[in-house]
Amino acid sequence: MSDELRSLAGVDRIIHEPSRSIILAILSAVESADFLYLQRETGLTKGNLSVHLSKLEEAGYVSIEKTYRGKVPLTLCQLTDQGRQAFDSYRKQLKQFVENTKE
Amino acid sequence: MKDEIDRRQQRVFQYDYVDGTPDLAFGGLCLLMTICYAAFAAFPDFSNSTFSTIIFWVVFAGGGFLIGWLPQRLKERITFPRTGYVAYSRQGRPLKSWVRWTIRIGVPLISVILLALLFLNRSKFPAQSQDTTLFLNPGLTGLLFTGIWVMIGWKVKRSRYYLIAAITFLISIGLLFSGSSGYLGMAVLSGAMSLILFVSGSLTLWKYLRRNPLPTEAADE
Repeated sequence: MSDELRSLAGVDRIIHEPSRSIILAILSAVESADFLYLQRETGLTKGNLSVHLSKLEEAGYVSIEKTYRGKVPLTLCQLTDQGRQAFDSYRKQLKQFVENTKE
Repeated sequence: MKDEIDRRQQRVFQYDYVDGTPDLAFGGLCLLMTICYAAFAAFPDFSNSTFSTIIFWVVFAGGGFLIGWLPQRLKERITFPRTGYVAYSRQGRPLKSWVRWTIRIGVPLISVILLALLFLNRSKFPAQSQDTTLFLNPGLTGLLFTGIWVMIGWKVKRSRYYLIAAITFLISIGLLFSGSSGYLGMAVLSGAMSLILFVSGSLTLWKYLRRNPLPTEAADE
């Protein structure tokens, strides 16, 4: 296996799933976002988004707070420091891989 | 994948401008400035008083606060129930609450105090005719704003800001060639900008509301 492929094999599998990487990309640009916004931006169904968020929460990458805005329930999602580090590192790995394969 | 991530992050940033509320808030600030300038133009004696300058800067700083506060209140009622809630932090990392409030209150307060002190001690500075100051040159101010709108348009990738820039540019050229100066010229410029921004904000908001009706079911999962 070439070094490039080996480096790609080492990427974080939790983040590497397309839907989850999009969720993290969105959350990395904000302080927090709610479930409705994430659902609209990712185009996922409520069930799918819930599953992906649960996985990210289990991994410690995302914190989820269930609260209320007036009488409307609100699920706020926020990237944790660990999640931010993992996402930054994932992006660096991908960038490195792309640069290496260009050469 | 990198491009897709960048595109997603860009979309998050654009979301703040999707409903036209920043245009409406800035239009509100321009309207306040128009009223100030028009009052100063109508009452020249009052415009030269210390009190009027303090009022002007209080309105200016208060307007700055309005730009931060009004879109957020509008979004809470209009945007967030329709397309979701997003809280931004400038560097992508959450700012602590006390830091946010220090910035919100401290910056306008310090600006007002400094400018009031500057004005109260103006006799220590060389005298300058109000018509020749850069600050009261509506044509040049308009050109400066043209640049700002182009910058915003480029940053948030929204074509309406280029249109606003083009209209502001035409108004500025008109003001430059007509030789307008002083408070009346500034009132014309800020009044025109206020009108453009209200039209732009209202049309954007109308389009947004048409595309995004209020969900009938609960907004959350």
